[in-house]
Parts: sequence; structure tokens; C-alpha cells
Amino acid sequence: MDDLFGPLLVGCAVALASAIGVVLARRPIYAAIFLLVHSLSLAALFGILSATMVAVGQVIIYSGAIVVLFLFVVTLLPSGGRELGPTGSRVAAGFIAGGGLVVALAAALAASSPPPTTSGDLGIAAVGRSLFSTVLVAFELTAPLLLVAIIGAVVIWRRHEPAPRTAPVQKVAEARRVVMHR
Amino acid sequence: MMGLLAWAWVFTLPGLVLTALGVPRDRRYAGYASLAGPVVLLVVAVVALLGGGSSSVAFENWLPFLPDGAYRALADELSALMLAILGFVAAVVYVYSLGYMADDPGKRRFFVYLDLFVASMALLVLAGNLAVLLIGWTGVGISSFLLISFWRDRPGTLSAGLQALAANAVGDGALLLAASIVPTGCGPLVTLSTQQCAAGPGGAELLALLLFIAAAAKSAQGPLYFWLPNAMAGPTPISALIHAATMVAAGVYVLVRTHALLELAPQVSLAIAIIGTATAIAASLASVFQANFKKGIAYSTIAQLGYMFAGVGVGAPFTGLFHLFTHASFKALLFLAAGIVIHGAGGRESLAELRGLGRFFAFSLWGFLIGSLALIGTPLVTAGSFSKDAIIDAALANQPVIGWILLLGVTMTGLYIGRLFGIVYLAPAADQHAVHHDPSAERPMNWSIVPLMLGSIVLGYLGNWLRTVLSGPLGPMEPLPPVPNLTGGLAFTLGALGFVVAVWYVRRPEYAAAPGETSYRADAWVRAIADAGYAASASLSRIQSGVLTRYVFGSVVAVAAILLIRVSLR
Amino acid sequence: MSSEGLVLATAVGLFAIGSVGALLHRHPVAMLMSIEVMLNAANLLIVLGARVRGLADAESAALIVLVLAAAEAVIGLGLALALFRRKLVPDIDEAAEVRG
Repeated sequence: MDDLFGPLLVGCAVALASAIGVVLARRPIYAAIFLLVHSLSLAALFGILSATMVAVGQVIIYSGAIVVLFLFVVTLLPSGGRELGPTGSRVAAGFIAGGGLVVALAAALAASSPPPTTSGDLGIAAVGRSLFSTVLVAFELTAPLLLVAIIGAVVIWRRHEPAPRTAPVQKVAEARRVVMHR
Repeated sequence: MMGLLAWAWVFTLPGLVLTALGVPRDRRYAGYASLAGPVVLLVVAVVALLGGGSSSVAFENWLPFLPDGAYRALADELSALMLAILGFVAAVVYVYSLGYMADDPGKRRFFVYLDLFVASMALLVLAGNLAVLLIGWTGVGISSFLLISFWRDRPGTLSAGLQALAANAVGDGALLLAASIVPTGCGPLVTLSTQQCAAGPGGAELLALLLFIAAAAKSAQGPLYFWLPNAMAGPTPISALIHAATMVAAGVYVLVRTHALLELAPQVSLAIAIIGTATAIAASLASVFQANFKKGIAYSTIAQLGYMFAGVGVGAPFTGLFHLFTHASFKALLFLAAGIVIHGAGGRESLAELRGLGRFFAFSLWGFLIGSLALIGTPLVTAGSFSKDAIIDAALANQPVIGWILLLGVTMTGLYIGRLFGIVYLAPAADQHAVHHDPSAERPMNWSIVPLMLGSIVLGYLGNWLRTVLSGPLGPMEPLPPVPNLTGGLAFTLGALGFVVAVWYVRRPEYAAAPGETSYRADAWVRAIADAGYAASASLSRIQSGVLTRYVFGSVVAVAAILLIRVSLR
Repeated sequence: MSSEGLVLATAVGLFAIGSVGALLHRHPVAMLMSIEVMLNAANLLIVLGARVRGLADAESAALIVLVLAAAEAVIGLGLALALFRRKLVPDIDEAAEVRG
């Protein structure tokens, strides 16, 4: 895989730079644009790593839908324009957390031995075959997952009215049923 | 017939679909389409039980991500017996509900939920391995919740349903854990005691412990008892079906089915016996102080289940099963008889309001009397004596201390049931106009409990026959004690003593029938312990500040810390 | 440094950058965007694993993670919008007492 080092380096650099841009942007709209660049750069990385299906998915699903959703929300928000800068305690927390995480992850990676490289077919046909055999249950379960997410979003947005006492409502239901019978 | 029985959980599904679709269009006949289900179940189960043999169904690779993910159903004499009990009580309860729920606008929904329950319970009984058992287990939990919180506009029913779900969740968790640690290739439930099954992590003890926790959650034993008295918020027919005869018996059934595993884990067996006995005594004591008619009977159920657990725990699973068999009949009888009075009094359940009203309902009075006599173990006349004596005998033989405690506990059994009978049926009547008789509703209610009355008298005599029939699934068993015998006579005397004392006590005019409140004020040190608990939880709850940034910080730092610890411990 | 090492380091770095962003930002939507960066870093790691081991199953797992990201974004943005409906919340920490 070392012949891909050059393209990988470029892709990783863009990904890291745009991620830093997301973090440091002062306006949420700039952060959204940086996120778009970030996700596209990741799509490029996936493509370089010859995982074509995920690369295309990243462009269509992630950049094309999720990040666009973020853009919509940011532009529709009443105070989506500006953001206050981080306080000192937040910056300190960020350094501690981020630094600690990097140290811990690096230590964990250094302590483990890399797995042997095997070549395999990562093409779209292979992904399709695996989606419908080995990973079938998880694949099918994403459908109810999305359904629940949609219902959840609607429920979160619904205004809560006080529920009327069920006794009078039942009477109304009875009357309606009689009418429908006729 | 066993082959047909292996699919018995399908029997109530046509009724479910028809009733849900509203097939008897006339609202007065809603639910009639479901009546066939439990009757078919009863008939098939009895024929299969008489025929004997066994039949199993297996679909391998049904859930490939579990170690043992096959669909296995096993129909043998034990399942046939349980399904016969289920069919019998369910058929009675269905007919009874036609009267009890006659005026209820949710009648159709009620019968749909009942069908769902019977199907789930049948699946639970027929389960051949832990995966299918879990599905039936969850199914009865859901139906129980739906039926407990059936009257949505009454306060407290939803909370009671959620409490039942909470206890059920504990049991579900234990069962899930058991299903995931059972090693691959272990196969059917009945082989859980074989070497390769017991060779999993924790061995036979852990598996037995998890099964015990699951059974205790379902049968309201030990600290998991809390949901059963509150489940009385549901309609009386389901208190009879689910929370007396069948669902709560599922715990006992699972322990009996896996009794070979319990033999490999003697400490867990002892724990089962101890907790069963402690629960029996504590629940009997609690029942004496209840101010609600149904809750008094509910605590009795918990106590009798404790007796069954004790029977299983001392190494005599057949006695526990036999008591389950007779208890289903007389406890359902007690509940349904109580329901007739409650229905006549307009839904009131407190003993203060029901005082003396039972005398206006003849069927109910006789039903409750027969049920009470069965409960205290009147020899020869009622069924309860055969099974309870068997448990006490087995306990005296294997764990004498437990045997004596159980024997003396029969006194309290007599006390609490005598109290309930005396207050509701024998006390001087308060006001004739407090009850209203509704002949069309009362006819199905009155006549449906007659089979239960007969059962409470007769079923005990089937003990020896059952012992022969079940020798296949349960292996060689101790012989049942001869009838009559000394321990049985002693138990009955104690129980009758308690009964008579209680009846005499509550018939006195100055007795207040609402002893729920006491004048106990906590000592200072008790209050100090409670305050310390409050203070500890208050300080801990400050972690839940709602400030998202702190949560993120905490999570990230925790992940980093765990990684570093893991790496340094390599 | 080998290519695998480079991509590994990038994934680790992206994850850490995302977590820092989640702590620095006060606007709810910006915080969500930083969390999305973290999720993408994890996905990058999965795809790298798929490439190194030659497994198509891991690639399908990465695809499913993408779907998960979509579901999570929907709910997160719904929550952020619901927060904004009650009152203007430029700072996520002010929403500590929100009920319902």
C-alpha cells in the first residue's frame, strides 16, 4: 500500500486541516462549510483506500444529505449567525481532554502489533454480497432505526398539549362510531 | 397429538386476529371469537398428556448470531401438563370475563390482550432452548403490562404496569445473560446439566443462579416481590389468570424443567429454598395487614409461590410442580370469587367498603370457602392438602429447619385467609343496597367458577397418577406421602386454628376492617439511617448537572483513562 | 512512516480534534458538527481495517455506520431546534435545566 503514500498524505492533510477549521470557526456557517470539505476529503481517502462503495456513500449520504441538513439548520436558526468564544475553562478542558486522548490512543496503538496485510476484494459486488449474507441482520435493522429516528424527531418537535380526560373523549368516539354505522 | 401440541402457541392466534378485526360485529358478543382458543388448547393438552410421549421441533440457524440460536420447541408430558393448566384456567377466565367485562368499552382490546398472553405463555412452556424461552418470557411480560394498565384513565394502573415491567426486566436481563454464556452446541434446555453445558464460564452454579434470578423476578420472590400486589390494579380476571395461576408459575416451571442443573449446584438450591421460605413467611405476615381485598389474596399468591420454590430448592421439584397444579385451581377460584363481589359492589376493593357484602353472592361465598379450605390444606376434601403436605414432607426429610418453618407458617395462612373470608362474607352486612345484582353478567361469572370449585376438590387425587406420567421428564421421584398422614394433619390443624381465630376476631363489631395505618413512629436511629441515605444520594446526584460540556469532558477523560489502564496492565 | 501508520495517526488526530471541538464550541449545532468529525474518524479507522484485512464485511459495517450517522444527525438537530424554539440558546450550558 506504500505506493499510495503520496495521495494519502494529501488527503489526510486536507482532512486534518478542515477538521481544525470546524473546531476553530467562529460562525457556525463557516464550521458547516469546513465540515463539508472534511467529509469530501474523507470520501477521497476512502476512494484511495479502494473502498469504492463507502466512498460513494460518503459523498451521497454524508456530504450530500447530512452536511446539507446541517447547513439548512444553521441558516434557519434565528441566532445561527454568531457564536461566543470559548471561555478559559473550556479551553483548558479541551487541552486536557484532547491531549489525554491522543496520549492514550497512541499508547494503545503502540502497545499492539499490527495485523498482517491481506488483500481482498473490496469492490461494490463484494460489499453487496456481504450486506445480504453475513451482515444481513444489521443491515435490515437500519430500517427500523431510521424509522425510529424520524418518529423521534417528530415527537421532539411536537408541542405538548395537555391531554383531555379520556372519559369525554370516549363519548365522542362512541357518537362518531354510530354515525359511521349508518 | 404431541406433535400438534408442539405448535400449541398458535391456537389462540386466530381468535386474536378475529377479535382484533372485530368479527362479532355486535358489541355484546365481542370476544366470543376468542373463546375457542383456550378450549382447543385444553383438549389437545389433556389428550396429549393421556397419550404420553414427546415431540420436538427444531429449526437450526434461526438466530445465527447467538451461540445457541436454533428454534427449539419441546412437547412432552411436562409441557402437556402446564398447557392443560393454562387451557383450563384460561377457558374459565375467558367465560368469566364475558360477564365481568360486559359493560367495559375496552372489551375487545381485553380479549386481544388475553389471546396474546395465552400464546406467549404457551410458547414459554414449549420452549426447548433459552432463545425461544426468552421470546415467550418477554411476551408474557408485555401482555402482563398491557393487561395490568388496562384501564388507562384510572390513577396508578400505569405505574403498576411499569413496576411489573421493571421486575420483568431484571428477569429478562438474567435470562439474556444466561442465554449468552451457555456454550455453543449445548442445545436444548433439558440438557443444561450435561458436562459441556456446565463447562461454560461460571459453570453450573452461575447458570443456575441466573435462572433462579429470572424465575424469582417472574414469580415475585425475594426482593422482586414488589410488583405483584400492585398488579392488582388490573381487572380481576387477569389477576386470576396471570398473577395467580399461570404467569407467576412460569418461574417455578423453568426451575422444574432445569432441575437437573439445580442438582449440580447445591448451594444455589439451598438459596432457592431459603428465599422461598422467607418470602412465604413474610408475605403471609403482610397479607394479614392488607386493607385491600385483592392485595390480601395477592400476598397469598406470593406466599404459596414461596412454598413451591422451597419444594424445588430442597430437591423435590415434583412437589413444587404438584403444588403449582393444585394452586392454579384454588387461587384462581379465590380471585374470581372475589371478583364477583367486587363487580357487584361497583368496583370497590377495600375491605372496609366490602365488609359483609359477600353474603349476597352465594356462588362467590361457596367458591371462596372451598378455595380457603384448599389453601389451608383440608385433607381429603380439598386438593391443596395433597400438594402442600408433599412439600412439607420433602422439606422435613431434606432440610428439617425449612420444613418446620413451612409447617408453622400454615398457621398464618389460616389467619390471613380466615380474616379475608370473615370480613367479606361472614361479618354482619352493612347495607343491602350497597350491591347491585346484574343477572346477565353474573350468570357467566357464577357458572364459570364451578369447574374451579370441582378442581380444587378433586385435582389432589391425581397426585400419584401425575407422578407416574411425569417420570419421563422428571426422572425418578420420591413417593408422595400417604393420605392422610401425621404432618398433613398437623398442618391442617394449625391452619384451621388460624382460620377460626381470624373469623372469630373479625366478626366482633368493634373490629375496624382497615388496619393499614399504624401508629408506629420511627426511632431516632432509624431516621438517622434514612437521612444518611438521602444525603449520600443527594450528593451523588449532583453529578447529573445537565451541563453537556461536563458530560463530554467526563466521557473523553474516562475513555483515555481506561485505555491507559488497559495498556499499562498488559 | 508507512501508509497504514499515516492513516492511523490521522484517524487518532481527527478523533482528538473532534473531542476538543465538542468541548470548545458553545453553539449546539457547532458541537454536533464536532461530534460528526469524531464519528467520521471512527469510520476512517473501520475502512482502513477493511483495506488492510481485505474484508468486504468491514466495508459494509462502515456503510452501516454512515446510516447511523444520518439517524444521529436527525435526532441531534431536532433536539437543537427544539432547544431554540423555547428561547435563544447560544450557549449549550444554559440548557442544563430544560425539561420535557
